[in-house]
Amino acid sequence: MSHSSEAHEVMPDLSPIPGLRKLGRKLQKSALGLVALGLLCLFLGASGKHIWGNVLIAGFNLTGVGLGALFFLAVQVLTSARWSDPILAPLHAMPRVLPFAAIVMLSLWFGATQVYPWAMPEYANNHHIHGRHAWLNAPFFFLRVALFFGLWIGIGQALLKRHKLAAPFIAVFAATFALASFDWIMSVEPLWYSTIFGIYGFAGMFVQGIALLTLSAIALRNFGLVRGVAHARNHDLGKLLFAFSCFWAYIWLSQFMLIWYSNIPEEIGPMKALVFGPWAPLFYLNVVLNFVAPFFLLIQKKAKQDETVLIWAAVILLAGHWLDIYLMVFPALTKAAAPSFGLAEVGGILLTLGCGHLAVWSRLTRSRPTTWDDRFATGASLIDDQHKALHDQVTGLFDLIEGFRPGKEREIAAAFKAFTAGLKEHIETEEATMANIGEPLAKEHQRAHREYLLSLERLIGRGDYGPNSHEDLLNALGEFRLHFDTQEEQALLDHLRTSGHPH
Amino acid sequence: MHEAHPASPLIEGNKTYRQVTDEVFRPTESKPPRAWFIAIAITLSMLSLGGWAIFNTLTKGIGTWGLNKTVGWAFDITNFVFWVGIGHAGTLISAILFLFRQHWRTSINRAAEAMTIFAVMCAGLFPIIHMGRPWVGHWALPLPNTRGPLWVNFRSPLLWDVFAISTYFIVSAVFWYIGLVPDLATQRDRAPEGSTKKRILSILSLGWNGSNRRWTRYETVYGLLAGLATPLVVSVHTIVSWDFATSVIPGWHATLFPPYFVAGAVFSGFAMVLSLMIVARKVMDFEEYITKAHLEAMAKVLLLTGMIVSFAYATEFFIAWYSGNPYERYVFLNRATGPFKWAFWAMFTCNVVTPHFLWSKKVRTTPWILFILSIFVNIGMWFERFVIIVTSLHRDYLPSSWTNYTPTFNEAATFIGTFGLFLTLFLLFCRVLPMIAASEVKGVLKNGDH
Repeated sequence: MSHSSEAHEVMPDLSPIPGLRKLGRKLQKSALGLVALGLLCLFLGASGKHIWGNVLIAGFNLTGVGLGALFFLAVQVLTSARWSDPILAPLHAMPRVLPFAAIVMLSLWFGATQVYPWAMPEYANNHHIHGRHAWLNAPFFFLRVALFFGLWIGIGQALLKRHKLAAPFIAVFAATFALASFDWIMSVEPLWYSTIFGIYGFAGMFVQGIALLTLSAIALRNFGLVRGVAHARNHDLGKLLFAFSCFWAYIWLSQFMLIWYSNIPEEIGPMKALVFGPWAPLFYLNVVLNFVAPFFLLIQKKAKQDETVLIWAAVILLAGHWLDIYLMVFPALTKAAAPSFGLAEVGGILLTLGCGHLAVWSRLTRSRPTTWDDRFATGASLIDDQHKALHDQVTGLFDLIEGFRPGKEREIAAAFKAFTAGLKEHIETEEATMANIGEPLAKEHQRAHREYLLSLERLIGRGDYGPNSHEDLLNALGEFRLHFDTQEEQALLDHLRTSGHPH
Repeated sequence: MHEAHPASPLIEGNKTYRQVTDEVFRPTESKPPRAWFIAIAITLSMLSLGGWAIFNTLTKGIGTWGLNKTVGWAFDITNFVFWVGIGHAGTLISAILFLFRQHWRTSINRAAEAMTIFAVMCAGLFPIIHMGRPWVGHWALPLPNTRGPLWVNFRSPLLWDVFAISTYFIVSAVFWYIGLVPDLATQRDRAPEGSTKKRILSILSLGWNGSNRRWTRYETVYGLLAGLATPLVVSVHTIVSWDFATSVIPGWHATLFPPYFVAGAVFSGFAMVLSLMIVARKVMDFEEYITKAHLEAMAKVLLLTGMIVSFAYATEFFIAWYSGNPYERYVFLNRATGPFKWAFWAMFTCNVVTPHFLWSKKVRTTPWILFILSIFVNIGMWFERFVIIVTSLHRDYLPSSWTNYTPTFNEAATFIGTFGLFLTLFLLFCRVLPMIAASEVKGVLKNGDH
């Protein structure tokens, strides 16, 4: 691992962001509603196959959301990437979905005989399937499901805190996710096999992750929840969407083309139903949604920078990904009977959306602001010490307010006043330092400092530290991190780094 | 990859622009040292040996090789795939790392691209001599002809190979040349007035004058070529993998082959770049340009791609077992325990075990250990292709046609000859053209005299 990634062990995290917590709590309730509605629709589904098939799709997609985010984070760490720092907050929230995914996948225990032929009693004596019982049997299958989730959640949690695990995570992820793709999806058609299937699962899952990241980054910015995110991030996300949609197409082609060309009966069998049967329109639609449409939408530079186009591309790709998994599961389940889109499908999608929302908001409403990170250092010891102390104070205050009990008001008041006093002193130091080296701060920057101080003093003036003011207090503290991340402040830090260190 | 840390510049030694120009162009403007002559004498002998072997093949026929009815492809195609794979690192460094804004590529891209071109030349040789009658080699192209219905088979991946590799060669050469133009102009400006060298360089540098407009256009073209070369490099080894994967031969027909071959190609290519660069930086005094940080970055790519290749091996074995298909199962069992098990375990040791030494930062930054590891990977990747090709063929569906394969001296000599060609061209390149892209390196100087 490179030296610089060790230097900042803690991932930058923009939450809590003023306003986000309030919104998050509201959305959490609606997410619960989505989950309930999803379950209701599922159980009104046409048949056991439809119900459990959609549970499987939801479980696989939710797993993909969590793992896609972890994989993305790990890659950022390993490449010492900086461009993505401002949009990492949603990526920290997305892995929270994994426990929900585990519940959904493990619940398949009750429906395995509906989905997996190898678990169906009528196939127990089928000699083709019989040869696979050593691997494909319900106890071992669900043991693997549990083991995989244990690894993903365990290493994933640790990865969010310690960057050293990025490389081992990727190795574990590659092995386990490939096996999960074989197990969960490929074995729906137990006589069919394709060595690329693990990578195929990864390609779709990663596109889904980038699409979600794109939508979240755009949403956070448009709700005014993230500041200082350069417009160039759009372009970067657009390029990633474009590139990985192409990657999906490459892997799709590798699988389909080789099976079509070789025309081996046991391989081509299930494909035939897809290409020539009643599923054919969906088969072509899959390629259009996952590749053709995003390719032409995003090929121009201007398009990759345009928020509206990005939103469309991301939504098309998310729909495409759902369809892609649907086509891997349902033609096999329904034995190529014509596709029928019913309540169960709606239920599966609602369940996915609901669990996703629930997980993401449970993170974004509870997280703490980032603690000090060594890459903020300027080398000027006084300023660095002050920054460090201020970060610690903000974190301490967050802990106090999060764990509020009646009677703690006085403690919060003292800490809040100490923070305000420290900040005032720091702002004076910073401005004096800049004046000393002959580069006084810009007027607007100074005004921002003053206004922030004033707002803090106004809060102190109210003298209320009970639950009613918590939202305002937390918002004010969040502002500190937001200001710290603005371009002016970072430019100032950069300037201090390069222009010698006045001690 | 590299650290975007202000404290770690990509080029060491606090160089000025002038220093960069002087140091990079020095080898092209001075007499080669004695070691260079010794080296080229060796590589030319290798090349001559290969020339003799090819002459032998062409005059006596393919019977000079160890091929038989069952094993119709062996050393030749192994070498072909090996050399095509070696080329991939050059394009990865020059195009894909460019698109990913990995600025550390600037010190090594020129040499790696040159390596690509030479490796593709070596690769192209094998299908041509395997034809037995290379004078009708143009029949591989869909040219209008008087042979009636005798026409190329558009449905064959072998024909797609012809298109893929020739396109790859052309685009790689153009990309390399376009990148060279600003440096050729510098070389021209430094050449003595009125010399032949100056006249040749004047033509090659296309009247480059370093104006703003030239640079703008240059950068546009460079970006476009990078965008074009990226899908191209993936397609080349994909199509090479289709030579095998479109068949119905167990061990060859695997949907995983395309990405697996591409990753393997990058793995072997980076190993070759490392081997060459570790020697070149030492003997040509470029240690401040190709720093340990560069070696480390390449070592990380090696570790990653090595693990992708290991992942592919594991997947193949697992699915062979999972499939329950007796032919699939047998092929993989036979690989690990049959008459060619030595080749399989050589491949396994070199490709699966060796990369894991690279988890250690100490190993990644110690040139001589890296050199040894990179040689192991080169050997392992050659064996990989040998294992895939020969073990899958030598015991097919019909046990009565089972047989073995032993390479002849002629085949080995041909392979040595391609190494001779590759290394001779590389040695010439080092003395004739700037091995490091001076104009690009200047763009990443942190402490230049600006």
